[in-house]
Amino acid sequence: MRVTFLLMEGITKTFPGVLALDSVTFEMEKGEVCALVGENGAGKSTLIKILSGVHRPDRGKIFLEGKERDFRSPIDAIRAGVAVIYQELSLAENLPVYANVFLGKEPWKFGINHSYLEERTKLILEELGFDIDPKIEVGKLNVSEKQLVAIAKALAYDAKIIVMDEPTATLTEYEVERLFEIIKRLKKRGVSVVFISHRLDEIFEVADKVVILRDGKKVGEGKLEDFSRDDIINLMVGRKIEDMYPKYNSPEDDVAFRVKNFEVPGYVSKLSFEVRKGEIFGVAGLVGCGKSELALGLFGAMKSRFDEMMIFGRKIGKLKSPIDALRNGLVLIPEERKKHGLVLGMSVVENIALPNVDKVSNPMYLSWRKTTNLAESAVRKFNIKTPSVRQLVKNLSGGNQQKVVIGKYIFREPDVIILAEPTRGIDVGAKVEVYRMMNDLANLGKAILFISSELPEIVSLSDRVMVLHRGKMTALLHGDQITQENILKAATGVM
Amino acid sequence: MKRIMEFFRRNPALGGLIGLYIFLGFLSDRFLILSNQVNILRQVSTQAIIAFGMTIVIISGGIDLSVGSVFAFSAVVGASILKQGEVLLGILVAMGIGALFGSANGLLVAKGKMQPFIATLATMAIARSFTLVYTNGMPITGFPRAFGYIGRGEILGIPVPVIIMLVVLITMWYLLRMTKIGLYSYSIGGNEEATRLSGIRVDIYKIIFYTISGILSAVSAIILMARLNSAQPIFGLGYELDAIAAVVLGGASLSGGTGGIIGTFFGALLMGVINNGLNLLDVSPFYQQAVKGIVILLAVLLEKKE
Repeated sequence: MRVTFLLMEGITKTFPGVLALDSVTFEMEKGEVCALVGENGAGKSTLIKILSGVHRPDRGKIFLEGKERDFRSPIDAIRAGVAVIYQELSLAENLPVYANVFLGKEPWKFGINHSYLEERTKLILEELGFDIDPKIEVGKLNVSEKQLVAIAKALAYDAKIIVMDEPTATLTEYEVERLFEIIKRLKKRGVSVVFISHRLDEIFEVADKVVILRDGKKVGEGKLEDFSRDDIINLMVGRKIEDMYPKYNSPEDDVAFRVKNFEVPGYVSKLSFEVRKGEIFGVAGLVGCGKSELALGLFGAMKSRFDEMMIFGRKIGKLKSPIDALRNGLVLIPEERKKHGLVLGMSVVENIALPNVDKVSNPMYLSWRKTTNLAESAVRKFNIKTPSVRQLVKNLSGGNQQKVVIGKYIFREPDVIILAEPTRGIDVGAKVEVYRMMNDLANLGKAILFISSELPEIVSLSDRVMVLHRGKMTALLHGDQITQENILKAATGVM
Repeated sequence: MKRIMEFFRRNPALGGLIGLYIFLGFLSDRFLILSNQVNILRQVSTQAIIAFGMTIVIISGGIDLSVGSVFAFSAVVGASILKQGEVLLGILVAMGIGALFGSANGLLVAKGKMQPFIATLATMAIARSFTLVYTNGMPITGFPRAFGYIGRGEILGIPVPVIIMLVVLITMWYLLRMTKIGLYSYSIGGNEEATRLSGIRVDIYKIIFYTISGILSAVSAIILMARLNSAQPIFGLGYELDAIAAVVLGGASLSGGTGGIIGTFFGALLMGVINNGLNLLDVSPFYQQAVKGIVILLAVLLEKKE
């Protein structure tokens, strides 16, 4: 009888008050790439954490190569050959590559034989086609290279199953292609890969089969050939999404925002552009093109120089800190939600209060009643799903966290809104809501700068697109010119 | 039951206090009598006031090691003026010294981008040295009679130091819970960068937090001087550690973002009760530090455990 390579049978897991997984059965074959999809909170990470020994299931069994396994801790899972590469890579940044690859299993023979580890690491890296010096400190590598180190580390442990949690979220197009090459090589070696991603295009490119979870239940499974993009989305969301990229804003002729020769030293050189009232102005480019720094610079969070900056006819003289930007009606919905947007350990009401305190407080008294009212109206207006405004932000899903960030800044009634990667890591339903918010804000006459690495959304939502390459504008596209192809050409400096 | 456990996990000091009250209440017939309870409050008042200042600094993600030395320096400078018979001026100057050192700490941390531990370690050494130079190592004694009232007086049977402590307690509670300064201390401790990007002048608020800590060290010093009718150059040695312990026992985390004044009060009280109880039970004072250390470990372990 043929045995299934990995079989997780009838897995059920509850957390206080939540049924995270409801008898889910998950199986895959040797050398297979399986995409695991679902909205945030669907149970993907719980399933992975059970597979990797972080959690133990309440009910259900795990069989690997036909043998029943009981993973009591991550170490048990690693020893059995299950490796997880998390989005936040857990590498020792201060150690060289080879030390990371062999961390925890250095062969002991009167001390550590560094040159031996270096050799072994080099072999593994070469076999995978990675061009990384084993002696270099991991902290000096970029995200994509760090990911490769993590993969090498998994192989050094003889991993049979490698789980990749949103591996492409922070990669450039080119790096994504390279990762897919590597996944194909892993397949050839007989390694099974569980691939978690919000980007459906990638799933169709790299995976053999797909498993779709919703609300802790398996709602779909099968070969990818048997599914269309829309099938997967509809199964994930549990209802039909009519329009993935709603667009109904109408730009006016008046210029709302204008900069001349805007520079962020070292990142962005001499940019001049204007955004009209009601316009969604897209900013595209590869990772490292300077678009993130442009956002921080315009918001006063990074040092900048400029000849002129104008918001609704008001000249901005100095821009030394975000306070100057906020005073002049410019806000940034920051790219790194958890690092820059939120105080995770504080409640929804406190987070929303932060930039709005002066509305509800004088220096000697902060009215919690007014603050709560403010937060409750934000929760209603932006459809933030939370049991109460006193809920800690860290307990909300990614999409709802993002709505809190948007809410806290929009309540200042800004004129110019910069959204940096507003849909990163949030589920499909929440994405559509963010797009609608952008349209609604534009229709109130705001100027929207929409910075994103996801081309489909840039193409579908923007009225015009500015493309950056190495800190310079290489194209300003409008109308029919806005295509993924044109953007990519300009972003790689071909155009 | 779960709720009760959760409450004590968040308020480790209160759990310890209740335990100690039951324990000491049985073991010593003098422990629960009113005069002993008032005595405990009087003894903890100076420590608690310093710890209240430390609380806002620790919540904001900082630490202030200089409180003991600032305590001493503001005491001896104030004392030299009090000796001339100038009560009000002496008090104001002492508080001014506290404010000065506090704002210097704040400036070093906020504008100088120094780690709070290092910055206040340096000012701790400097203030102690100033104290020794200023006094030549000798105590300063002999203050006006009226000044002694602050340390030894009573209103309706309640010692003045206890009243001052309660006033500071209420003020600081109000500051942390009902003003934006308090909100910002939590948000800076929770995520400084996100707070800055919300358009808040993080630097200025940090300076305010450390200044409050400096002023409260001086307030505490004034009470102790008035009670002892002297100012000693060795005042305040090790007070920073007691204050930090009280704050941590009160449920704050040294990484910032959590904690509260009421918790700190229970933390300070817990340590006062330990001292008092060991005295009543005739335990050698040599054991006091060990008992305190064990209590701190237990409290933090309890808090960590989920």
